[in-house]
Amino acid sequence: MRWMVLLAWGMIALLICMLAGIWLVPVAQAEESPFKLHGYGTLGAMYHNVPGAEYRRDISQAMAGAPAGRLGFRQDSMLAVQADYRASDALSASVQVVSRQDADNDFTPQFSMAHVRYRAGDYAVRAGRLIIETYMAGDAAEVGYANMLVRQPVIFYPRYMDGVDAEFSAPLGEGLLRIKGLAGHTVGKLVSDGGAYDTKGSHLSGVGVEYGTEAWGVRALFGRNELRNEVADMLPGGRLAASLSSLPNGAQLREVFTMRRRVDIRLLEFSYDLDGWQGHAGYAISHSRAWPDQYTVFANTGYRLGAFTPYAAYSLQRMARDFVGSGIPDGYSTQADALNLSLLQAQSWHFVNQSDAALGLRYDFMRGRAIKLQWDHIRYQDPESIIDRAWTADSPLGRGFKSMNLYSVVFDFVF
Amino acid sequence: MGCLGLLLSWPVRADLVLVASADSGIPLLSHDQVVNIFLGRYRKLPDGATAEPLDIDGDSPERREFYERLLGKPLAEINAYWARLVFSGRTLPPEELPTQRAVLARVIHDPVAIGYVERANLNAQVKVVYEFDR
Repeated sequence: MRWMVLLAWGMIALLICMLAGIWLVPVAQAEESPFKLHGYGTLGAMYHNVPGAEYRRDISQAMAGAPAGRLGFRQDSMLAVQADYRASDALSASVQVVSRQDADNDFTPQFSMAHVRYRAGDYAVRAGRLIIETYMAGDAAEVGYANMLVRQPVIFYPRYMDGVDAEFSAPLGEGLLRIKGLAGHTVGKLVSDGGAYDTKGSHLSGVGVEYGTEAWGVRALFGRNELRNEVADMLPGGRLAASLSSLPNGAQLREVFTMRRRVDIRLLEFSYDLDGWQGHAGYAISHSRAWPDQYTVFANTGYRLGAFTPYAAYSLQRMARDFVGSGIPDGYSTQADALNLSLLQAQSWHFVNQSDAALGLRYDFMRGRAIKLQWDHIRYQDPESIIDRAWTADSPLGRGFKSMNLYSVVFDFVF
Repeated sequence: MGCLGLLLSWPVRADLVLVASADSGIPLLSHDQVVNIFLGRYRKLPDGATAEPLDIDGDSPERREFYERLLGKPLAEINAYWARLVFSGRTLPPEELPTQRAVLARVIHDPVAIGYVERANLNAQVKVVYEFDR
């Protein structure tokens, strides 16, 4: 994959040359050319107040979040360059490279998109590397300028796949019906206290049905992801797999810790955009064998006042905290107590129990440029993107809720 | 005098109309059809052909006026909308041309192209396929 990295850096270099004015002619003729080079980016800073905790944008980033009392510049900042080629009215192709803090804690550019797109009448097909449209605008979660909030309230993973999606659209009544199916293999790493997990090669399929008018829309999605890879500890001969085999509840624990599994997601969303008001709300259930179901609710709304858009958002993620014990009672031995604690901690990495209430202001001060200020009040027991090292030594059973105030300022741009 | 100054400085609304080639089969379009075409949602016409919308460059007064009258939205919202679609790879935005003259030239030679120009610039080679309520 070294050539991909080199090509990615090449596109970044091309962008720098363009911005420096070295590559003037194609820019001046951009509207006449079938080629277009453009992109987006964000410069962000965040600050929070919880000692011992770190905040990262999402779980695709390394365990290196913004610490308390210091500004974190890495988490929200990113740059993407995209090349489009319009071969005809029906056929086009796009390649996009993104540089952002990743699972390896660096900014190595990666291909987020590389596909061809064909449209004929009511149908459209894309093939190649695609950004997954899990929920409305979820495929634009990283495009800060396209979003009202600094960060979309809930992120579904993984984000990218190598595969195909096909879409059928047709007018129906006063609105437009859109049916989309997708299938492929996911790409991308996710990082938790347990280490990095590579989703590469996991089969993803789904179908979404959407109906909307100019003012409102409703969408339902059914998706299935069959995680292919196993964590090293759970492979035959792995440290965790070996230790589980000797426990009374070993078989049950093996079901909990294995990553090779099917995850089903059902999602219902509603959006509106009327008389300056815009909003989006949704409800999702994620189901997988041996894991508690994950319930997600999110809603946001904003009102445009000239160049300013004040907004509010709320999200809630809940999972039952159904821990599975080792079967050895506490107090049996010091080693057994340590084992019980580590098993509980490892299970808590799968859980998500948190809420986020946010207030913010977006200011579109010039074409393609926006500044956002946002305050998030996050309550968490089992956080998703917060790394709370104060909890790593304690049993998660007696864990209560903590609160974090997170302050963010971002400059979003497109070019 | 103050009232006169106010009147003179009030922005004059351009009389924009949507045009296609006089020889094209594109019929009169409804408001919803125009919205779907220019927002990249659905571009198929009743006769089965696909309409190709044309925009006038970036921050031009014509573009600002067109989207304000069509959708009641400022350009910042339209630009954010297109950023969402383009950078997620869903579709490409309308092709941008620099002037009304360029739009007319393109429309005349492309039977599926539609674009907005001021009514005063109409000629016999184009026909109006949508006009705003006055």
